[in-house]
Amino acid sequence: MTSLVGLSAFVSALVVMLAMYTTITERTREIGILKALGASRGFIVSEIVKEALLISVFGVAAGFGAAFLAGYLIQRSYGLPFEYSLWWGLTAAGIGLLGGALGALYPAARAANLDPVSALAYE
Amino acid sequence: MRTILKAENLVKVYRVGSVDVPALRGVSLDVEEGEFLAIMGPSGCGKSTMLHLLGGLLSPTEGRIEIDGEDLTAATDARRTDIRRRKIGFVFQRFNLFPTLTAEGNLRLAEGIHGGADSKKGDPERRREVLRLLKLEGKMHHKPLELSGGEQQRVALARAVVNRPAIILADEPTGNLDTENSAIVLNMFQEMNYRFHQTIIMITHNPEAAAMCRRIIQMRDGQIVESATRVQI
Repeated sequence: MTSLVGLSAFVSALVVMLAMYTTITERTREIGILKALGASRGFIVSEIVKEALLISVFGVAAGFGAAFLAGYLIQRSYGLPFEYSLWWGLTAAGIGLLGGALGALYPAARAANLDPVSALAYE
Repeated sequence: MRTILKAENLVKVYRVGSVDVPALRGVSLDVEEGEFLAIMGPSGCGKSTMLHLLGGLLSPTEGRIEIDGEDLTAATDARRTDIRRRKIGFVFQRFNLFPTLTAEGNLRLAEGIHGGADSKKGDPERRREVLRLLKLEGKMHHKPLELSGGEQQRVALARAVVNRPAIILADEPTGNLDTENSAIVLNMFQEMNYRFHQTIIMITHNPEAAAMCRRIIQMRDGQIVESATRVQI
């Protein structure tokens, strides 16, 4: 079970990292504008991590919704009872959010270190 | 008049592969507080490089820049960002507004960056005053794509002045505008210069735009070749 949890945490962080990396590449010019406006590295990192956390919140909510729906359908179709544990629910939410925040850190740091002139010239 | 910007012997060399390409070859410039200055010259003469250096977006290879008494060249990257945040407003040829934010949202973002976490909401009164002055009151809730080029550039100008920076650096602000909108935007620059006594340094290819400035600098091959006031011209 612990291995599965660890694997899911790793995969969720990886997925968020790839998603944020792509998003940031597409928004290089906007990062350049933020830098021209005088945004500090901390500001840029915090904005990107906040965005990733928001996406993770929606992802966790959608995940819970999908899990409850799947549990209900399986129970109805096959009569298998499903038990939901508050502890595991909180752990799953924690992993989802932490994975999101950690996965966003590398792309955020990369964005914060972009050269503003090159970023502004990005097409 | 107080000197608000001082550049001494600026040299900028870009490294392209294994070749050194000099963009600026020893430029010195003093700008007084409240001055409205145009920089003209052919493409590739180093105008934009100079503006980026003056705004702390680039570091010079040699030379020194002082803005409002603060040495930009000796500063760390974080310190340079801080000076830019407090003292400089940029206006670009391509407007560079955030497409997902409204006109007011773009201004609020600039205020948030300027004031930090404590002032995320900014100053709605000042925001409205600037938008009113730029005749954008009715466009506050419009996103950039719902605005004309001239209106977008006025929003960009509003964003640059909303925090009352000491210096506005404009890189061909009328380059993407038609004659009518260019005149409106240039009048707004003059108004900002007159009303708030803001120092404006503007790159332009347009002689009519340059004629509205108090001083015109001509650049060629990475050097200043001529500097003249409007009266002298």
